[in-house]
Amino acid sequence: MMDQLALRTQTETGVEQETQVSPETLFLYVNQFKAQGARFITITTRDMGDDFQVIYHFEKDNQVYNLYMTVEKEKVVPSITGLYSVAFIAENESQDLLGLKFSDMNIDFGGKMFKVAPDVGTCLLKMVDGPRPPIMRKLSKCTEECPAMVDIPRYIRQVEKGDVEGAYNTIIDRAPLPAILGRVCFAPCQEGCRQELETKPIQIRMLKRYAADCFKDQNGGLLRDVERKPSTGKRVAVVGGGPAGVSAAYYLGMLGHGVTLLEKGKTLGGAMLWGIPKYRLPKDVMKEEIEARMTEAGVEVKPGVEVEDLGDLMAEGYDACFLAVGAEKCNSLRCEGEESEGVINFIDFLTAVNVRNETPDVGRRVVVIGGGNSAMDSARTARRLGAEEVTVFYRRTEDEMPASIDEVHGAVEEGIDFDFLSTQLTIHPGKPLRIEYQYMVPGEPDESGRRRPVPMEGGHGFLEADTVIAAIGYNVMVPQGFDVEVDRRGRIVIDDDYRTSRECVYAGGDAAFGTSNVISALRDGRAAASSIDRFLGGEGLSEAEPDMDEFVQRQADLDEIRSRRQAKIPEMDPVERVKSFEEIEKVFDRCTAEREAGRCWRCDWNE
Amino acid sequence: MNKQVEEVKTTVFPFGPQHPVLPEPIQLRFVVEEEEIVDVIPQLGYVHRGIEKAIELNDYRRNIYLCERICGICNYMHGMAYCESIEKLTDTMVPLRAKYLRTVWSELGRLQSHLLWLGLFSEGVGFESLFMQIWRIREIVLELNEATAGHRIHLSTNVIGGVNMDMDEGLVNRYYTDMDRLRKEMDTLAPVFYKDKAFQEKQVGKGVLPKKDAVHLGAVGPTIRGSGIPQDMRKNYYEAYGFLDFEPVTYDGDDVYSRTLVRFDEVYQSIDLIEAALKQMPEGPIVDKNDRFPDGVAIVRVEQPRGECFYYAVGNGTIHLERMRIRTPTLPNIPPLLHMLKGYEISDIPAIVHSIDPCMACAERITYVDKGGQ
Amino acid sequence: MPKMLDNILRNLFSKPATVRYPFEKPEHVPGTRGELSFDMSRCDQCQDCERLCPSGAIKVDVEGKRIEWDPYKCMYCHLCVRSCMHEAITPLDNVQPPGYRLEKKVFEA
Repeated sequence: MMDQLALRTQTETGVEQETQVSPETLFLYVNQFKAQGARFITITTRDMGDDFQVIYHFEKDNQVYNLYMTVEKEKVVPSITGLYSVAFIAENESQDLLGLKFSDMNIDFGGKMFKVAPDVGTCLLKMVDGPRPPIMRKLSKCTEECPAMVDIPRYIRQVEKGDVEGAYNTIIDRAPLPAILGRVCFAPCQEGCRQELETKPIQIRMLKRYAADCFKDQNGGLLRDVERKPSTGKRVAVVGGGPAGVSAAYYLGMLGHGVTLLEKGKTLGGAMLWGIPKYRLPKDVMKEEIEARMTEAGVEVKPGVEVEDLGDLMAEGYDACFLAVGAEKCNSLRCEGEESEGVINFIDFLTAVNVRNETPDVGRRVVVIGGGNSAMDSARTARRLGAEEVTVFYRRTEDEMPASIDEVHGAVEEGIDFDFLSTQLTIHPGKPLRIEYQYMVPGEPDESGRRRPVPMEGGHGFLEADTVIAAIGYNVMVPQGFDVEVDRRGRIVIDDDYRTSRECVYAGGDAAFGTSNVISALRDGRAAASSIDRFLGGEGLSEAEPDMDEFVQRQADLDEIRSRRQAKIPEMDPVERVKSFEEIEKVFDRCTAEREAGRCWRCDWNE
Repeated sequence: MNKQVEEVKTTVFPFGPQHPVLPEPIQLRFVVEEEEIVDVIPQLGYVHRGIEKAIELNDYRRNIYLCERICGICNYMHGMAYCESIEKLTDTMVPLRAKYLRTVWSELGRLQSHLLWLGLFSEGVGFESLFMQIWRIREIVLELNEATAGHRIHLSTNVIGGVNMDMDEGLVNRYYTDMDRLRKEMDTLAPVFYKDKAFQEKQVGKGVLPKKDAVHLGAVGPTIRGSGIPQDMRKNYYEAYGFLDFEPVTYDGDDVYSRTLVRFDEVYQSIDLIEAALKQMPEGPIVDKNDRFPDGVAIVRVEQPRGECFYYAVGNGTIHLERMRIRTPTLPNIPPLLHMLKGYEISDIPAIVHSIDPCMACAERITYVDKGGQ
Repeated sequence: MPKMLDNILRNLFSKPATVRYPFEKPEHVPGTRGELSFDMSRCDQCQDCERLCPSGAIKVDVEGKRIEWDPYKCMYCHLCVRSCMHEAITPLDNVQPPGYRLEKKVFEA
């Protein structure tokens, strides 16, 4: 009995037979239906813009049959009430509300059947203005936190589906160096992720690196097969090969301009080259990606050229110029003895290690003064060069350190000591150096809101070290020959369009905003490229806004997704790490990456 | 022989839209000749709310709540039919337990609707305390609704891909107890409906709709089942009806009385169906979602308490549906009503109009034309 | 006749079926769909509930971190409860009492 019943499962009452008819052949079919004893169900009318689509629904032997008819708007349709007298209700409906005209209806209400409301009165649901239905879609929090407004949920979805090339292209649309960013970006997007309230944000940065590395494996390199726009005949000079310069050169080149990139050093990269250590960003990856972008954009790269005078440069026939010279002047320690031998500034130190691949002998004990990311980089580099005791002095507390938490944590794992609330007083020269330092206590807050450290009564200390590395910040120093306006801290003054005080000259990156980070510099490059393009007669690049034509849904199995744990980034063991400059983080494998990408809540979904 | 030419005077008088007997407004203008009805002219459109257009302008996930509010009495089946049409458009398979739950709750909705109708009808023919009795019995069903889902009338448990509330042991036992109680209460009413002569006087022989007229005029629901034709959409085996054993209830009288008896017997049938479905219900998940957008064309027909309801949905792959056409059962019952009123007297009007169970709120939600000239 | 007597006696001695609301409250059933209460410490102003509400009863002020909920427009369908990702909306178990004025309820962080 149960099997018999089970066999009688639901038959498909979907659309069975559809026939196209015209007003002339309508009666042929309707007569057929009448002869076979079919039952009339109803008429559906749709307004398709220029004409109406009229669908007649009939039922025969428990199956639904449809007749589709398209008529122009003013044409008169013969009524079928002669055959099916009950059709008068449906025909009157269509006539009243859409204006479809019928002839010879048996009961004709003449437009008085349904009283159409004369105005749009109160309605339970939201009102609509105009014929297009409203769709609400907004930018997700992660996109809003990113300085470059990369379309993060979109590339996460592409990674989840396995479309690595699409993900790579999505990122390059707004930030042209994904392989680099996936290793070095400080990821404000992860702090903006809504899952952070439960302390499980999506590993957006590692997914970016995964996309770039997978694309490289699939493609055999990072060079893409893309086309530039047709040449505009204009020439632009970009001074400085750091992130801002590379970004501006790429976007201007893709828009069709002839770009020449002038870099002081022998290799491109700027702060990415000398400032970021090799265990975080391997230099071959960096070079490969920058070269790929420059080749795609058709940029003429001139390394080893230092620009002193802008007037001479512009006289070579450029229509515009972008300054991205970066910052190089290290802040001084302002204490006695800073000229002693063994005291070096971090720029010289890191440049020697990262650019020239030297291994300077830092001795056994090293003291690093400073609390930012550069101090962490210097300390960890010193550790890898053989120093056994590395101490970091910072004049405020641990919570107020500007370095990112991952860097500090990595430093602690590698055995680096921290001395908080200490500041240097005097450095006595000799071998080893003797540093006299002062304990501090937090005092009143200064203008940035952080508490100003005040010397503690009688708190002095001495420490011996072989090398002291000064890492308390650096500033911009623009050559005189540029003849552009600078502010009191040496930064180039620009307006909202990245224009400087000199005509046809634009600026961005660290040179204009002071020392910041890679992603902000990439943003500056793109925005300045857009501005320059408009100056040269083009349209500029598009702003970040939600794509109204793509429809995105939240996932169906949200409960399962919310129970997944955050994937941890695989790292090298701390003891092994300090023996070499090998890259610390390993990329996800495919299974982990797709699972992590599936955890995204898709905050940019449609309403 | 004198040819006597009689001047027969005809009067036209309106019935409705407000009338104590009507649950919802409809205007019928009767052309009468001295107490006998000659012709009827209907006028609809008093409850028109522009729902079909509103469905097009809304996100398809929120439309469930909109469709439920087309009619307060048959609300569960509207929501369920809408969900079924979207499930067809997105190729979703509903799990078996969800199908059983939907069946149980549909039958509960049918119970509630028939009890409401029986009460209103009794009052329409003059039995006012019977009306109160029946509505007191209906409270059992409403309280059961509240225990299940939180609301007395709008259960709102449909989602696309299944249901979102489950029944545990305690609730299922409560269903059994309440169904028993309901059956006992209905047994006390049965003598009135089956045997009472005064009750039958108002109904037997009135509003006759012969078989071939019923088919030709396209009647649906108890209207046609009261004329002996077993047309019931539940035999299409949507949801879990394929696993339940039942036959449509028909009576051969063709008049108002047989329609009343059809509905009365359907109450018993619903009680049996609920008990059978609860016994057979398997364990398992209750919802199966996916994230595809509706695309294509789908047709769904469900059996509401008043007859066959037809949903035609067109989707285009975005979050808005392109067109939704809903044809509710009262609409095709109006031509038979116009036919069966002719030849009877004014005092029979309430009983006859009521016998098709007019639910005009369902009937009017056709496309709403924007003043902007679409 | 005996049936009528039986009916009369039964109705005479059973308690009334109606409840004199609002002076007496009907029996409370647990699980009634009732009012909403927003927990602002968990809300991060994502406006999902505003977008999903079928009757537009929720308004979110993103900068001011306030939510305005209109209990007279609300349908008590509890779609917002099910779709809030941080579970910041809890449904209460009561029947919304009638009031004299149309007022909105405001929840602040």
